[in-house]
Amino acid sequence: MISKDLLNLLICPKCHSAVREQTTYLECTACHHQFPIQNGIPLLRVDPHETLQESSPQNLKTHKSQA
Amino acid sequence: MNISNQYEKWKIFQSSWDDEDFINSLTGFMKLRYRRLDEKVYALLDSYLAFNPEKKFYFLDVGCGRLEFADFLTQQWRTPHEKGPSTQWHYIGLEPSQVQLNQRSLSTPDMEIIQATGENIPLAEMSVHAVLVKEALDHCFDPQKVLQEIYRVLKPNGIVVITLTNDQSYYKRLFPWINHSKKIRQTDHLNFFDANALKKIVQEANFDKIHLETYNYLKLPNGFEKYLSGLSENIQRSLLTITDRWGSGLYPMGGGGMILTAYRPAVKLSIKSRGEI
Ligand SMILES: [Zn+2]
Repeated sequence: MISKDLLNLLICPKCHSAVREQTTYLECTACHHQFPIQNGIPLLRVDPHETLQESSPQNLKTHKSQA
Repeated sequence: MNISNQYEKWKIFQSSWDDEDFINSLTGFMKLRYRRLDEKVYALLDSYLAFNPEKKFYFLDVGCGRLEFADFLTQQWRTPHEKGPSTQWHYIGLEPSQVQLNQRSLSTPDMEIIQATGENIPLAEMSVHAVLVKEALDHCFDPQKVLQEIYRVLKPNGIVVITLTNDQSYYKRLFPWINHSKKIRQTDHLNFFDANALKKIVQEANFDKIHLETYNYLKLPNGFEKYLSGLSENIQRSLLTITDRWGSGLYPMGGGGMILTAYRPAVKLSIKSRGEI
């Protein structure tokens, strides 16, 4: 379980939209990407190389269609 | 070194970053140095809170590693002499390395941990009061991006505390060849900062009221440090305090470690675009 406090602050690392908690993962409310929760730790790691390539708004859109 | 080589290096140490042996090999004197750093950081956050009282203090630890600072906080709050913090701390640790997270201590149950990178912090804009980057910025793939992200998640007037090894300490200047050979062997540092370089990237990320000081002026060969470890803690502490006082008078930016504080300005500034990479 992730505290409600933290959940209110968390955003999707791919598109910066809000996330909601499902049983074993977090799901982005916009791009629907799923991020597992392991031993209480949400795995929201997007590697910097990915960020570098995807930081433009155009690419963010592509991301939505990928998910 | 080009970007993709740096990236390979980053990937390798993220997935194999086991410093158990390193930590076990530390002398008592070295451990005291680390504890003093935690104390200094805590004092800075404490004085921030004294001027900016918060009922609930959202605190983000970027590169929390094995949760050393979280452990320090728990001990701090447990000490019987203290009433405990008047503020309720909400600790959020951020760490990309799975190995580090696996090695974390289990004594910090109330603290929340996220696996993520500093280059892409999965927190909403203006969500935390304070950010700590303790001995971590030199491990990051893209320090500029990390600072932009910290700026984004900090509330206006929020504080960032950055601690780092000083690449231009007086002893590294005296013995540059030792520093050079150490750097070659060091696989987990992608970047090296001296005081000016650190201030510069913090400035470029639009932070305000930047203050930097160095500490850890006492540097001795290992044998001596082992000897010092046998002395009482008070003597060891006094030695560190006195040498820091002398050192910072004689050579202001020459200590072995750096501590920087800066603030997100109260008035919103536009974040500079990064341009091409
Ligand atoms: Zn998303």
